[in-house]
Amino acid sequence: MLDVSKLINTKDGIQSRRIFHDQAIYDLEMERIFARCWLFLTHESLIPNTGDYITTKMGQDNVIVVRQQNGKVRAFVNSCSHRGARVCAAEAGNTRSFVCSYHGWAYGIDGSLQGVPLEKEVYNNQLDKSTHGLVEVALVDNFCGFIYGCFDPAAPSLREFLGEAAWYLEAWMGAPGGTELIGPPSRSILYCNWKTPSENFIGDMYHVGWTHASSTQVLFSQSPLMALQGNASLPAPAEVMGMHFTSRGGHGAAITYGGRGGLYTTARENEMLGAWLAAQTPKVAERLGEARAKLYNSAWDGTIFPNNSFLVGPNTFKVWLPRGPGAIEALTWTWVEKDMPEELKRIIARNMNQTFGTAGMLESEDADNMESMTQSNDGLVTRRGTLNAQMGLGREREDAVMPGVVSDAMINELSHRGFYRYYQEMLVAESWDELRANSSKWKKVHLER
Amino acid sequence: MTNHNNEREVTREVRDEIERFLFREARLIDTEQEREWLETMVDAEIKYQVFSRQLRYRKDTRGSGDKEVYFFDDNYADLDHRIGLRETGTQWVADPPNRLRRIVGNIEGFEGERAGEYRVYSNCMVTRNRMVYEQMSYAYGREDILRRGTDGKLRLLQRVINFEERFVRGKNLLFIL
Ligand code: FES
Ligand SMILES: [Fe+2]
Repeated sequence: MLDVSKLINTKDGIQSRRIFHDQAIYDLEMERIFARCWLFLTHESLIPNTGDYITTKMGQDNVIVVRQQNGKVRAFVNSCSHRGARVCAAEAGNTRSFVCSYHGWAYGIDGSLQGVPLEKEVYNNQLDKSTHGLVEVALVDNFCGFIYGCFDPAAPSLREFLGEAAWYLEAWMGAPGGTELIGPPSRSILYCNWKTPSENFIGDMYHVGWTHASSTQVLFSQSPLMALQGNASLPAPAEVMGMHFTSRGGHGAAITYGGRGGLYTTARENEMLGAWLAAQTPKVAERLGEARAKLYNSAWDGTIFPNNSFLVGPNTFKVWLPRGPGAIEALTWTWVEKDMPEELKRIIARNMNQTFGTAGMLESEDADNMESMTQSNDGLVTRRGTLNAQMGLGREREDAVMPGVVSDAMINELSHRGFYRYYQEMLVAESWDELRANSSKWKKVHLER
Repeated sequence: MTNHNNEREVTREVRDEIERFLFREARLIDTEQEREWLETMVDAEIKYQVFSRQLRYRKDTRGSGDKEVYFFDDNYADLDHRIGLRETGTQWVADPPNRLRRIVGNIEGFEGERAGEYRVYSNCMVTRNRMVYEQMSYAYGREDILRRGTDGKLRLLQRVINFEERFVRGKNLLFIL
């Protein structure tokens, strides 16, 4: 019998290796996490007009996300109510209807069944079209223009789901002029469990100097991150360099103070971004306060639970779509600030793709680790063991300004522990009420030694 | 790809030269001699692009935003950085070494827009062996411009690849295409 309450020991920072392997755990993740959590769909900027749509996945469910006549965004399962064929084969576009390629049933952009070929002749007008619309995704909402969907009508609002993380995310998603994604995404397969990139992005600054030793040396010579190269020493104590946070809902990030600029190989590009950040910083400080103006200028790696990761600095935005316990589809966009000059947007996108796109120099370095940390657990004896995420244990604290639980070191595994804390809670909990019952005391396991 | 039936084909002599160029290039890249490739076969003004186009319906010409994402949009310095990674000695993804093997075919050569430039089309099949178990293959078409330098030698001035595999099953494209 699978006892999911034994998979994670948050207090001691220990995880069972079986979470990267077992089909039964994966099936439960689909049911308890992917069918209940808010999942990233697309960005407002990618479907600005009525009839604009994209297709993507929530867990392994295919969905269409489409802008309605009234400007609202709705999402539907991309499967025909007749015999289940796909109703949209394109990745994106603009349309008035979705027509199934099997027998031609036609649906409006509101998901309703509009047309049935030979309806009179073959159904004798007995088919009730009103009950044969596309299955709708229960909840769709956006945070700072980033659109998320949720299959569970009983789920908390997106804002509540993000919890304390919203305060942090606003520092970059809520840039003064707004943010947007540059589409289309690149798409590639990785043979890893979906949690391995989620945990890598949520706060693994430890690997930067080692996994990315060659790329930090060659590409980041003008960045403070260069100092990490080779994991030999730190230029300043880790607590001076940055921080970690975790939140109620398992979202977290590692933040390197002042690290957002300087990541490009040419001085001109670095100066251009530097000038932009300098000009925006007072506006951020005025709107959001000094603490978040500091975060706006920092480099981040973070994950929004469960499978949506981002970097501030390289400006990567990713979603890791599960394809069974041992494979994912990685979708990658560039995010930029809407009111940046067009040239700066192009510079950011070019550099993002060179580092974290499909031919990205750092992306491929990460992939090997994610795959081997998944595949090693094919071994029966190997997966009986546990994994260690104890870095920074005992240094967690609350802060007067910054919400959630924080730790004053950016090389840290606090956000890993928070991710798996919530992961286990989601697997165990039968209902959102059960989860809410823990909400007043979730910090204890991190703070009490 | 456009129809180039009206373009002027290069002479047999130049065609042979182009073919030798592409074969030598393939050998250098596949045998970890990318530095030699860059220094002896690539023009300092190189534009090297590989893009992927989002799949939309044929009739759908509306829709917003970019339709392409550029995996590579490199100049000479960018290619130099990519090649420089292995030279650091700490590029773990290439250690043990990757093994590449490519077949270049369907080569066509036409006179370019400017004197001393040639427009060259070719198709490529690449197999990449990585570590013990990984084998991936890639197929794509290339549209190149070769330029004859003052030393009389051909160099790669532009390469544009429309990478048609929308969902990249070979994980990544971290090699010279
Ligand atoms: S399955 Fe869609 S029309 Fe029959
Ligand atoms: Fe990484």
